[in-house]
Amino acid sequence: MKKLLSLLVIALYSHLAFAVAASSVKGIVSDKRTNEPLIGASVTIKSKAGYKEATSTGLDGSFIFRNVPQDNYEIEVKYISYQQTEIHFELKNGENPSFKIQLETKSNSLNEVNVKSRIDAGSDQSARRIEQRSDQVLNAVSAKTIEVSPDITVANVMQRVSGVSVERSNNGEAQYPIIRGMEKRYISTLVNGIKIPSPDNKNRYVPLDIFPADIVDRLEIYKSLTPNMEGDAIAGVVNLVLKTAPDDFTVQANVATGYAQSISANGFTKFDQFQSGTNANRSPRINNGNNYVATMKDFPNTPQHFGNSKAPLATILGLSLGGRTKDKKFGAIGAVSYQNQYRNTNSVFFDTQVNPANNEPAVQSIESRNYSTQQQRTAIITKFDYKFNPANSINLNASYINLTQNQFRFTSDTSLTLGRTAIGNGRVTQDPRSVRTVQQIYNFNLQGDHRIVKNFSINWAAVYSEATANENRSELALFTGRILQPNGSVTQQDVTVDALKGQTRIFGHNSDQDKSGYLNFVYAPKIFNTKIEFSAGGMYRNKTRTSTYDNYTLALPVSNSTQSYNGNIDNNAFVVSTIQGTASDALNYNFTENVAAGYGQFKFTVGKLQTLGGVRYEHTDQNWVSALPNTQTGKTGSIKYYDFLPSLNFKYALSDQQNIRLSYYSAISRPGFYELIPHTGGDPDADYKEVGNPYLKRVTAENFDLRYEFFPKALNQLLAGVFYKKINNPIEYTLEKSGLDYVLKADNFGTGYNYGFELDVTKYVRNFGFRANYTYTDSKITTTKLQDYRDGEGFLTSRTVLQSRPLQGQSKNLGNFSFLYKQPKNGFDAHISLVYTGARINTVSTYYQNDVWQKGSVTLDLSTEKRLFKKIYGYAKVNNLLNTPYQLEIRRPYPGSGQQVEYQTAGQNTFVRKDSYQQYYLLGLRYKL
Amino acid sequence: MNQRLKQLVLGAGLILMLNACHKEEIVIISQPLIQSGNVIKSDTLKGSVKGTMLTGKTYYFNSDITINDGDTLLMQSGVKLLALGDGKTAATAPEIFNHGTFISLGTKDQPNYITVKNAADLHTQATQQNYTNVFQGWWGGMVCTPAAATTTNPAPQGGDVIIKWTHVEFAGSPAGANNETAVYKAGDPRYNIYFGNLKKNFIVEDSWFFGAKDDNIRVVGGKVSIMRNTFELCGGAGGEFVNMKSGTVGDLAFNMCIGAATNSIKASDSGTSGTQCNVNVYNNTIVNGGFRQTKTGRGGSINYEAGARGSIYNNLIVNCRFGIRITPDADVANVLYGNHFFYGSSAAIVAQFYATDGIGKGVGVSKTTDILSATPQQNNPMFYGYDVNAYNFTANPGPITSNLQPYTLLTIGNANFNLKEDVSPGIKKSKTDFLPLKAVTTTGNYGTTITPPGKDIGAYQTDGTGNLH
Repeated sequence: MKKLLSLLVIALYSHLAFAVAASSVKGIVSDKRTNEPLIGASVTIKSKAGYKEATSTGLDGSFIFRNVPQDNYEIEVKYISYQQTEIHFELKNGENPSFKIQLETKSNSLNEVNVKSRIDAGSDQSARRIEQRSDQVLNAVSAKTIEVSPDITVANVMQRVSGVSVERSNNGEAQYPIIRGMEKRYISTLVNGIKIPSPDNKNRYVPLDIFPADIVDRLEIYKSLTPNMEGDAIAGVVNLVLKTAPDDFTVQANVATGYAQSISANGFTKFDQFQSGTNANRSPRINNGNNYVATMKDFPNTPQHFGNSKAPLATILGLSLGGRTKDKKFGAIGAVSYQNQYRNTNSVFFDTQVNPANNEPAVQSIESRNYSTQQQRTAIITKFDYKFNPANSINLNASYINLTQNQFRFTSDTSLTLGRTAIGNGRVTQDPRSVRTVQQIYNFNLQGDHRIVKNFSINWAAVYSEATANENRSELALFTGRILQPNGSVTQQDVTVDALKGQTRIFGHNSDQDKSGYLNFVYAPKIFNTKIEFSAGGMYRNKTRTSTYDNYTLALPVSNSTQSYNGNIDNNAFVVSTIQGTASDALNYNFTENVAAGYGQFKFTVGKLQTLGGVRYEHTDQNWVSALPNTQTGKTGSIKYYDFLPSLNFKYALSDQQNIRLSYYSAISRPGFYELIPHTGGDPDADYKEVGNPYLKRVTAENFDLRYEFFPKALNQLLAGVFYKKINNPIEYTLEKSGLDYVLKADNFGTGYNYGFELDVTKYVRNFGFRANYTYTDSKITTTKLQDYRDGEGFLTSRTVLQSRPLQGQSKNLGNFSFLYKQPKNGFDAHISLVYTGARINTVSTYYQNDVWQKGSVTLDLSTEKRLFKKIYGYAKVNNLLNTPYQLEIRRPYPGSGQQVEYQTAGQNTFVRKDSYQQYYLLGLRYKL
Repeated sequence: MNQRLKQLVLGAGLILMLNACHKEEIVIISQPLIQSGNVIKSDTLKGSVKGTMLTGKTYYFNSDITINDGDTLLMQSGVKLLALGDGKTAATAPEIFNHGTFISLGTKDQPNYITVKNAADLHTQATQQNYTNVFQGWWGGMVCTPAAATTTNPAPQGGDVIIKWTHVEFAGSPAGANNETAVYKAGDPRYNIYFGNLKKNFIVEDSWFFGAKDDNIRVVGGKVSIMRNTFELCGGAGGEFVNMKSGTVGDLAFNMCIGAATNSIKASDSGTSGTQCNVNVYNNTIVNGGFRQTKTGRGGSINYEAGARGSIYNNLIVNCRFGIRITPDADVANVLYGNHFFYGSSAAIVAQFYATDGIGKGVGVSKTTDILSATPQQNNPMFYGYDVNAYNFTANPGPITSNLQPYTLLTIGNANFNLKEDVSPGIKKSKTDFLPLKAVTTTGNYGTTITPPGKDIGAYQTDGTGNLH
């Protein structure tokens, strides 16, 4: 095939050559120092006679001018931050010359300090470079890749990286990464190398959809750890490197609009503001004190006032400005990003249990859910750096990120056990709900680098960050039904308000404050003629979380308990039945976590072998006080432990272009606060009620990686590796019985093993490029499950049995394929990318062989960009081209004896859930100076 | 090469030396605070209590009281135990946490009361057909479960509950955080009695229950004997007189049930405990039930759902919104039923003697042993003192707000539900050749007296046995 293709290309070339009988001039532009090809450098060929053509270099740094007549020429090559270079030559008839043009960076007295900012750090070549040079196993994604990809949030970008899949939120947006089949709890998120707190009320881990993609310069995914990195990253670390001040004054602007296909059918449902006034979105108890008796005045009906918007368009704006003073000592960059998007999601969900006689899946109800979600992301980042001299620099980084989500959800839940006599009838509960969540992150950090003497340097960081989330929820409980009448007819019942539940109003608030300090020393003496770099340092972080939670029930008055609902809640009358909120709910808590860490690390290269190793010590001290009464378990808790985490990384350079890496590291994963606090409920969005587990232990893991890397010329690369992880006390969510209900509880599950291999290939040929990666992962864990059966005497009962299964969230097969086309001449880019996520366990059932699996899926995204004027580019992106749904199933055949239900087919896997998001379109303009 | 080897050896040595060390967590989780039980010395009960409440006396509690694991609280006959509070929040609606044994030994002549201070006023309001305050919920009821496991007592056993000739009334205030969330989550209405202990006995005999806001009795596992009681006016807008879940085994017989919001007796194996819900429900009289339940298609008399099994015989079901409902997901093959006497004064009631969404749909497929008719107002049960046609059910098919229901529809008052000898169609139509389950084996003062199936349908027997009220 390959041969055929090149033959074809040659044929095409010769055809052109014969047709016009003129020469072609081609060449490759590269960095003089690193020999890296430079993509997008502008190349102009001109003659005194007035012949002039311009182009820019392709994905492999190459350019070509065709049909150039005989003459004396000058080729001029320009590239940002590089010195302009010219070559002169005479083109004779029949010659097709080829040039190798090397550019030098603009001379700069701060050479050493500047190594990284020399190349446009956000470019692909630097990303590849970083992968090759890194001390550990790493994948990087450049700003350039992000720009031409169909992604607008960092979470979306993540799924293009090898070995990474994503967990989506209920609007179909990617939210959390899953690295090598290990879910978000095993991954830590850094911004500029510094850990930031999460505004998420349930997880420690920062939801990556909060970050607009255009504020990052580079995304680094570390798959192994060194002693100077924090140890709570068993699967890996995501580091968002935000934009830094460029050498030249730079302006980038981006404006776009978008539309969700899912809105076209029924429009988008909006709801009115929750409350107005100061502190209006906090609970009446928080605003007025614990003894406050709430009245209906505290709960205006506004969030239950709904309106429809036919076709709301998204707004996407981005602007970044940056530059340096003339002496290059002081640099500043500021970037602002705003995204406002609307989407709908349609979902079908079955509540399942098991048949008590034979443990086969039994469906209890079928629920349709319609979501309308508006997301507004605002991010402001600023970064200032000052280089006193080549040995000393400081930088200050201040950022603010806000994700505000307004979500309307309407569910209609039809019982399959009560009042159900045929498809289409049964008792129905309906539930219009509006939720507004505001998540914010403030992050300030001051960092310094000082070289004290030639081989001794110090760097430090002082960090303050705050992450908050506020949630307002309003839910109305309604009944209706299509009920079989004694005469055989089916009648649609009136819609009435649930007298006991009425309306539910929930106010949740949590706020994390991190104060951290980092200090590192690096000493690089020469011992036995070998330069050895010793580093040592430490960090201390004081983290406090405060959480408040109130749940108010607005029931119907006993004297007016039968009210029908016609869509306008103002016609209904309610009374507050929980007049003081839920002051003693466990979700009212204060949690403090102090982590103190120190490490020692060495690095040296002998011959072709680089060795990096050392050990890290982390001491964790956690304390909480919740509002629970002291008659309950876990009002207060204290957990202390420490870990010694050694790591060792070998990098053997087979040649300039090939490395073999072998690494070992030990890591941990700390449970989330929400998982430890002994609460019940708190996330009404969960399919099952969630409970805390104060006895939950941290996860520890020993990790091994072996990787082969090949970086042939240009940006091409081949990475192949295997990994093995032994995981102690992995935390998994299981469904447990609690009273009459099933609850979802995090628990430790013995020892799990996770292993697999990865393959990652990138190849560029002038205008074309493709990237492909594939990861195979296998894991195994054995736990106790319940099995229901009918005993010998005919009674229904249950027994426990052992079941082995993969870890929750681990897909056996993951693959990405993306194809790029770049036409430098007219500035056209196209990018198609495909992601395959293999089947994985979504929820672990308490019953034998009844785990809920997410089906394997293929998603296809497309994006194109075209230069319209000199510095203005137009772009279009389409996400989820194939309308790939999110589907859950139980891998047991739906029993033929079960009742006839829509979506269920006897003998096929039992259908649990299907969410459809449909396509999303974006159209925008980008300006670059 | 030599050097490389050295390096590898050094590396390997380092790994061995630095072998990862993950120190076991030092975990201190606060344990439930248990006060040692105080023997009752005054008329005010506080904190953890045990001992005997003496005959003829009145006792009070204004905050939650607890009977510890292994302790016993006993009420002699003629004792009143009054909960104090406005019932509006969990803090002002005290609850009895029974982790031990609770015994109330009322007698026919000297019954006991577990109620609230303003009970008389509430009863008066009820007679005036004003149930707004009746259904407010004034205290937290009694929750009987084993204590939470602690490091010192990892497997508390809990104890029996024995209630005889006792009035229990007016519980239902919203639950607070003192409750196990598996029992009630904050804000849930509480029941008069919650019993959940697979291995222990729950005996309720000859007692009276009135005015619970939601369910009156909920049994989540236990050996039950619920005999000869009177249940009146429970559930504001939903709730059953006796609601039984997985793990419940025993007999319910000769109970008089009037004016339930939803069902009078419901059995379901939900919450699979490993012990199937298996109850025999026989010789009960169930009148005017199910009309306040606002949920579509719900509310009735006797429901067997989700995996429940047992025998249902000899019940007299008069003017209930739905008759017997055995849902298809009950353990249908093991639900035996028959010899029922249904009466309906409206066409809608008659059409649902066997609920259309249950098995045994419609009149035609009912058991030949049943007494029923497709015509309204046929087969009048001929009560001694109650007019089954006084209220117009055709005009008020439900759901209905309580305050629109007359007092006589919801309580016994001066009525008499004995069947007229010789004239009532229910006389001597019972099936008597089956046995009670007798899950509770103890008899005597601290045990149960199980009345075997009676000859006449319903709770009151012409031979003077059955319900003695």
